[in-house]
Amino acid sequence: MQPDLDSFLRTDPRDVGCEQALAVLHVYVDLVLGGRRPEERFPGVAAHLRACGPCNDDYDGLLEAARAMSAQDAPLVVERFDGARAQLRELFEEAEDSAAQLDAYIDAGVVLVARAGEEIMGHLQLAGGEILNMAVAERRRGQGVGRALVEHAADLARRDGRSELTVATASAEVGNLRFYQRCGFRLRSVERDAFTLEHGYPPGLTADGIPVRDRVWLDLEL
Amino acid sequence: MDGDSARWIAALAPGAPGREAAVGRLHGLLLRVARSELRRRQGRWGIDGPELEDLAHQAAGDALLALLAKLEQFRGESRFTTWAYRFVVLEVSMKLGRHFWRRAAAHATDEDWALVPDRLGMSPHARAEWHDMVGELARAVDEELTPRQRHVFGAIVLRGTPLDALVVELGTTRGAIYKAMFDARRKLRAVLAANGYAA
Repeated sequence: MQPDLDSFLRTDPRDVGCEQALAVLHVYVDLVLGGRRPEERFPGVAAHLRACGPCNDDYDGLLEAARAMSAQDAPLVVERFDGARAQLRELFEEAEDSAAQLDAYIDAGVVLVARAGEEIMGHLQLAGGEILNMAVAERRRGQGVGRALVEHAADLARRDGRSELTVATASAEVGNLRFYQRCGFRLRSVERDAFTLEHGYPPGLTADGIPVRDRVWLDLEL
Repeated sequence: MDGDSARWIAALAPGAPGREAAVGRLHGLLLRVARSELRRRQGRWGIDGPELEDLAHQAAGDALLALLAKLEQFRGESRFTTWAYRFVVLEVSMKLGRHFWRRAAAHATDEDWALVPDRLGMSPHARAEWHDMVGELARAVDEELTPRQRHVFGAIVLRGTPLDALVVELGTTRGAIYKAMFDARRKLRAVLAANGYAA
């Protein structure tokens, strides 16, 4: 019998079949990537992958996907930040236009950070049931990072026995107003002329073409 | 279980704060893998552009639902992401199997023994020998295989139907088709050997 047809017709009695092979494909792939010898632990799977084109295709695809994993694949984790707040100053400044105001409160309360691997994607500062400052790095916006921070803050406040979470933002920051309301916050009050020179805010500040003058308070019932 | 895997499981647990963000993030990763897997296979299946993007979204969405329903089955034998990516790679295979029949007219072919050497990637030397034995093999297929084995062998080997497409056509599993093919191969090899064709 010529060898090509013979190799096609030849069957290996160790072959475990598709279901069993696919059930452990992830383990097999991680053993390969770990420099181990999966064919020793799973000889029947190795025999199957040699004979079954579709399962071998799935194996190749999974191996490629798992090999391409990077820090990007790390889970999003929200945790308390115990380092020096100055390390996060750039993020704090995203949400605070007054350096004097920021200096006055930057060390207050607790700070939560959202990270994936080593990358800090955003932060939230919580003090006395109030979100004092919160920002998500620009290239990480739109990925649910802000919502995760707010949900963790609400959970923390709830465990502290609080019945509500409050936050204030400029009325001109329509993106913030949309975000907090999407998170379940409701409008509570407006504080007119809160962003003035005497409070450390430079004149002529605008956001989305709207003068930054008034502060809006929102709250979330816990 | 490694740290990242444990964090994934904690973040995806029902009621976990930030679960929605974790689910969204996982969906993004699955979509990336689906796209890359479809691009890897696109030449063989003839898909491109919006069609590829549509299949990627379907595969990522279905993989996410299947995975979340089986979250408690993750035992930490691999990294969580490898386990998760397995769902989307298998979804891609299933979607491509279904997609094949949407273009069935383009793929419809008769059973053709002459194309088998190409399908099996035979060497020129093997092709010459093939011609000496194709009659015997065809007779064995007709006389020795069960109707189901003959159907599966004919579809895969003689018509070049992808196995995952045949799964869809017969409404069965990949494992069942593979088993039918496995038994057919074993039977045919034994018949050929008994008739003096064994190496």
